[in-house]
Amino acid sequence: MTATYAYLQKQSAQAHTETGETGLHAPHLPWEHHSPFKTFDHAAIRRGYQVYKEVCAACHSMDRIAFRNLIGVSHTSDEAKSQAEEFEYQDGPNDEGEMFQRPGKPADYFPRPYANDEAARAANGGSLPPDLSLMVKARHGGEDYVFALLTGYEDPPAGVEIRDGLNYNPYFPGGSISMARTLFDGVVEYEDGTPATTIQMAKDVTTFLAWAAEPEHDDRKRLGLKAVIILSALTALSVWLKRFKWAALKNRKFRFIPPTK
Amino acid sequence: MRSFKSQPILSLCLIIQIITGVTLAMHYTSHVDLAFIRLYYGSYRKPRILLWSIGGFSVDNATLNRFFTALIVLHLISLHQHGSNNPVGITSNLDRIPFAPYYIFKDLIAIFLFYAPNYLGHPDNYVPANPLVTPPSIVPEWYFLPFYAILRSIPDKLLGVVAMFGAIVILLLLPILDTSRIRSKAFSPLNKFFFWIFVSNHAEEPFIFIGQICTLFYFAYFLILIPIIGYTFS
Repeated sequence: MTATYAYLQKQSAQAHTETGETGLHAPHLPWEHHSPFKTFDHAAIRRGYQVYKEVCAACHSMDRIAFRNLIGVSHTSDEAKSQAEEFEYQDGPNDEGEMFQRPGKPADYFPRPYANDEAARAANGGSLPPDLSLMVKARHGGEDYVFALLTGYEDPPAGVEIRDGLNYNPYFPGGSISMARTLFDGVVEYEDGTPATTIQMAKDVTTFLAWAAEPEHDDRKRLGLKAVIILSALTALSVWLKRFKWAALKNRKFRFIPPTK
Repeated sequence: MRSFKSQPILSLCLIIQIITGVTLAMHYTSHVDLAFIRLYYGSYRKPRILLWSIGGFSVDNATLNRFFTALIVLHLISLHQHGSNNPVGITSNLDRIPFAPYYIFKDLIAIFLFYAPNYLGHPDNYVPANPLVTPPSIVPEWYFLPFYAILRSIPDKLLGVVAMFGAIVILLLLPILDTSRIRSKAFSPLNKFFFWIFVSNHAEEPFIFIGQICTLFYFAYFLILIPIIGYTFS
């Protein structure tokens, strides 16, 4: 995958002049989970969660994912519990009618970095960091786009002016994006010892986001395999049946009898 | 000839149904009653006629169920009268077969369901709705694209809507307009050629012009070409 990436990156450098309103087309990468017989790379989901938690979560919310969703996917239930306990949630009211803070439970959704959209805009120069729960499904190119965006930061080419506070990224529609490059080699220290290069982190966090957008993915494919096996047996059966139904039609003979005067 | 009529009526019903659903979603209100009470209910004085047909005081699940049921009944009637698909257009009364090939083909859908559920979807559907942001382009389902193109290529709004509905209603005139003795295009190459000119989308310049030409052609096809072709061939 790294080799493909390096090759495509070289190619895209030549295509920069074509970056228009729609952004540079994200190169297609061979994601492992795109194969019909593969599940997600769950080790990558676990690493990607770490990247999200330590890097992305500073600005981006993930409202639709709860800590309990991690159980059996990337974390054990004890681990998910301790992940949730790292955050404080408001709960209540208690017996005195007061709201109180308590440590998170697995049933809690990921905490939001900002109290509301206005606070998020105020802290980010007017731009709203979008919620990442469905991000992979909500952009053209899906995983490829997210990966290309995270790794595509570079200096603007000659002739391209970028406003203060914005950054140049050829994959972003329009070319200037509020989000600065966040993934630098070694920004995260992986617990499984994987070297945290920019590409590795981008791949892991994209896999994590792909899982978040389609948590049913593994079950879907597993069920699909069963369905295809059963349905192809049934199809064979119905083709066999069809031969009987059509026999009368296929075996008849037409004869033209000219009208007699 | 009767099948000519039932198809446009069915498609008209389906379009009303879809637009009803879309309007329901677009009203941005969790109260279905509020969104629809004006459209279908009219007055509080004479509620009973509609009560029966829509199945409640407002458009709701019961209405959709009735609509679906009506569509299925219409389909079954036309299937019973005219048999399954008949692409050749020669009378098929001798060749009645059960649904056979169609239930086999249907199984292919399972592949999409399990391996590419978003294949016919659009990423915009996963972006949270925001009434303050205008999307760059309207993305109707592909089977609405021709009507969207008709609507867009006519500058006058009312005329556009009239033309859009006219595009469906004109199909009702087919039995009168089509004088060919054989229904299928397989035997008339001229007809085939004109049919394939129907093909376009996007609110940008070349497409608008193409859309206008195509809209003109669409109506000309039914009003002028079909009678002429039918006449010359028979």
